[in-house]
Amino acid sequence: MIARLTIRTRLVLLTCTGLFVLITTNAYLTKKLAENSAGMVTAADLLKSIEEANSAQIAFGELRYWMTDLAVSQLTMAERNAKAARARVEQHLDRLQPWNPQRIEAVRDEVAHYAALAGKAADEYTDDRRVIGNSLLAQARQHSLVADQLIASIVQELTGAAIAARQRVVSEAERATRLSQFVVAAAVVLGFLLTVLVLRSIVGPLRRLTAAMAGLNAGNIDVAIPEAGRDEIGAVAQTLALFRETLRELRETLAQLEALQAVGRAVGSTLDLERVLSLVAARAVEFAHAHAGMIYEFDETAREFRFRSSHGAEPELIEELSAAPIRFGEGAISAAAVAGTPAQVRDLLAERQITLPKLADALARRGYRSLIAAPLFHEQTILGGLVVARREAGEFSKEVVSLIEAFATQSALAVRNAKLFEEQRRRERDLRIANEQLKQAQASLVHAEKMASLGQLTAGIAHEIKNPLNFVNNFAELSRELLEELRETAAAPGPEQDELIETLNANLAKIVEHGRRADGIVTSMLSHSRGGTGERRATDLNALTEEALNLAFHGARARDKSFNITLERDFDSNLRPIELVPQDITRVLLNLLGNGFYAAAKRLREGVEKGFQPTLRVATRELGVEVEIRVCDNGVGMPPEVQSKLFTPFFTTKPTGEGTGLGLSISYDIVTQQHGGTIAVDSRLGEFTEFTVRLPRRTAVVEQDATAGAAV
Amino acid sequence: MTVAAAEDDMTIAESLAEMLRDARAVISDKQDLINNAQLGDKHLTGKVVLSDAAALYKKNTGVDPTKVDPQSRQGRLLHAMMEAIVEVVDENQATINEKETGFKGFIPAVFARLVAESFVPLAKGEAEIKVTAPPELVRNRKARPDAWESEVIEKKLLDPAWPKGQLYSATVETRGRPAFRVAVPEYYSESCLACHGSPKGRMDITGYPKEGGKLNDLGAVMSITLYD
Repeated sequence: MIARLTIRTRLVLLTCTGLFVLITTNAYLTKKLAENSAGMVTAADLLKSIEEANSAQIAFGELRYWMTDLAVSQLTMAERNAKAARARVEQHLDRLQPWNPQRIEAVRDEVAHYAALAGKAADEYTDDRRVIGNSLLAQARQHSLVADQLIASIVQELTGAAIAARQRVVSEAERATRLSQFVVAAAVVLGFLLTVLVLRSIVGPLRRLTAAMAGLNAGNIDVAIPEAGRDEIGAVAQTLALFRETLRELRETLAQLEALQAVGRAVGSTLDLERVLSLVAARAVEFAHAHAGMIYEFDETAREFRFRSSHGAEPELIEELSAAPIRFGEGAISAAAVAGTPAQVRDLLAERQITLPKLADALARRGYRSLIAAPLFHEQTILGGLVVARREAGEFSKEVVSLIEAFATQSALAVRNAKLFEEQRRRERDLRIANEQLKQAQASLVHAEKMASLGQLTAGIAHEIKNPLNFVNNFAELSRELLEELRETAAAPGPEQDELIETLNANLAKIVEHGRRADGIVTSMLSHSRGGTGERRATDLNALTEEALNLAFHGARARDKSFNITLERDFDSNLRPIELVPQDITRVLLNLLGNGFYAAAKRLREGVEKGFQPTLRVATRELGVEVEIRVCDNGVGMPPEVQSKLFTPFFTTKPTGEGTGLGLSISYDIVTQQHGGTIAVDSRLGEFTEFTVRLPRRTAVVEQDATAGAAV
Repeated sequence: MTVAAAEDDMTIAESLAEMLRDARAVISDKQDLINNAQLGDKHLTGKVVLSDAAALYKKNTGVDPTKVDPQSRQGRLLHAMMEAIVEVVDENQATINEKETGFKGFIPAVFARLVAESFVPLAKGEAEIKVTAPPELVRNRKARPDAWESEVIEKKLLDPAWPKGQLYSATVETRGRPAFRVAVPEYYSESCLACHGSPKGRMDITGYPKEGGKLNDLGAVMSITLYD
């Protein structure tokens, strides 16, 4: 209730309450003080009267003394003193007179009688008439006693009255003190409580206000602002609330601007349409305080809107929307496109006429009750629509409508940009492909030319070598047979002869073996120059690779007993058989594996790294239309300039006599020319070298070619 | 009264006054003896005092008082005075001789008053003598001046023009009888001022406040009445 009052009123009330208590207490205490003062005056008067009575009694005593003294001493001094005492008695009685004139008069009479009789007695004593003097003094004594009693009774009475008056004053003072203490205590408590109440009514809201201001200063516009009361703090709170609203609106506007700017930036900086549309949908949902946003793209050919992107929509809803394009002329999105401005559905359950029942149901089932659709236009061309749905029924505010329009414009721009970019990219890709193809054709042409000349040369040389080699092989074989016959026909040859025969036999076996190998090489050269003559057949590439790996490893071990390497196999178990020329692919693999072993062993030999373990990894992958073989070693690697010359015939990095420079060149031809595949190398000097061979499935190539032909 | 008679009365009055004064002087002179607390019997008897007084009287007047004709009026009254002196001293022997008491109050003034009081019955109605004073200086009310004395003191003796030491006499009816009255002024001497001097109000040796008198102030009046 106190908060309804202004702070000024509160403070005035607090002050008035304090002043009222102060004035009331003061008035009461003043009254009591006045009463007490009167009581004190009365008591003082009584005390004065008592004093007067006592003094009168004392003076009367003195009178009696001096009169007695006079009777005895006859001294005039006693007479004078008696006279003075008498005068004092009269003075005191005069002062007591107002208190009780009658009783004082009685005392006077008694005193006068005493004085007169005592005086006469003194005279008689002076004149030496002692008996008469005694008699008169006795009479005087009677009056003296009466006067004494009268004064004593007056003193007693006055004392009683004074005590009573004092008691009254004391009790009144005590009562006033107690009441004053109680009032002061009550005033302190009341003052404290009122002060606390008033302070709480001021300090609490002020603190909350300060906290709210601090919060707003810190940028927290959701900070709680104390309820606006009717007081000054309430006015400040109201102003602060208005300020917060303004701040919120500003921030919202700023956020909208930033969002639009962000969307604009996104539109301008990225050509990822999906990302841009998703961003637009998200921002539209955020600033429209909605729950889901969908962007449709208009297919000019099919004359329908197709779901393209969304934010906040449930996956099932996205599925349903994706599966149900909106034909032009149907639904709110078409209405918006036709009208050129956003169209609203304030209640999906009630306004069925402008919505597609199927989509409206899909939205309603998920709790959406209203939506707004804005067309995406670019230069009078419909590019799509932006739809924002929320779970509450009702109209979207003008600000939201404007914002949605702005987002729609951005979306349209993004779609347009994306389309342009897509077109541009498609053209670039076509150009690049054409260029690549041209380059490949050029390279192939050069290579073919080189290989053709090389083939011719090789074929000539091979042909010339093959005939003498046949002679060597045939005669070596024949010599072995003859040697066997010699062993069988010779009569009991001695051990020396047997040993010689064995040695010869072994030599001849080696000649045969190497001769055949040389024949194989020559045959290969001839077949290479001829462009390959092997038969394609369905082959298990994993088995082929394993066979080649074993062959290569043992061959390497045969050449160098100390050679060792860790072999890692990663064969794809799903690899289906592929049609290829097995002996050619084996040759390719032997080349690649041999090179890998060489590089890894070389790195080991160089011994730069402690604990280096030569490793070679072979992997196969089923890629559907093609298969992949990867051979990776952790050998010395190659610099880029070596990599660029790798497939050039007779180019080798091996020492003279260890490499022909034909292995990779032949492999390149087998893979690319013979099998239509690709061979690529990736290497880093001092780290690794990896060859990747991809061989297309012949049937797939045929199918692709067939499909391409149909599209055209 | 004739002039001769008046002159006789004056002579009688003066002689009575002289005797009383002389006896008082003796008592004054004997104060140390009287107030001696160690001494019991001081041998200050009536005769001793009278003897000394008579000697002093003779010294002052040239007349031996004891030799004045006792049959004459002067002689009777003078003898009555001397008798009174002896009587008073003798009556107060116990006081005078009391041991262990210093001041005994038997001072000249008291002595003079007692002698005057004793004189009256001894004079047998022929004369009275009283030592009075201005009213404010009277200590004992018996010494209070009567109307004539008061008037004489106020109008004559205290008059600044009154010659110092001059007596005043008049024939006045007193107590219903014709009488010749004489007022003899007495002035404060140094010895008087011990009790009657300054500072005024301070108690003297008798316990009475001093009157603040000054040397040669009128301190007392010896009033002598001689009846016809």
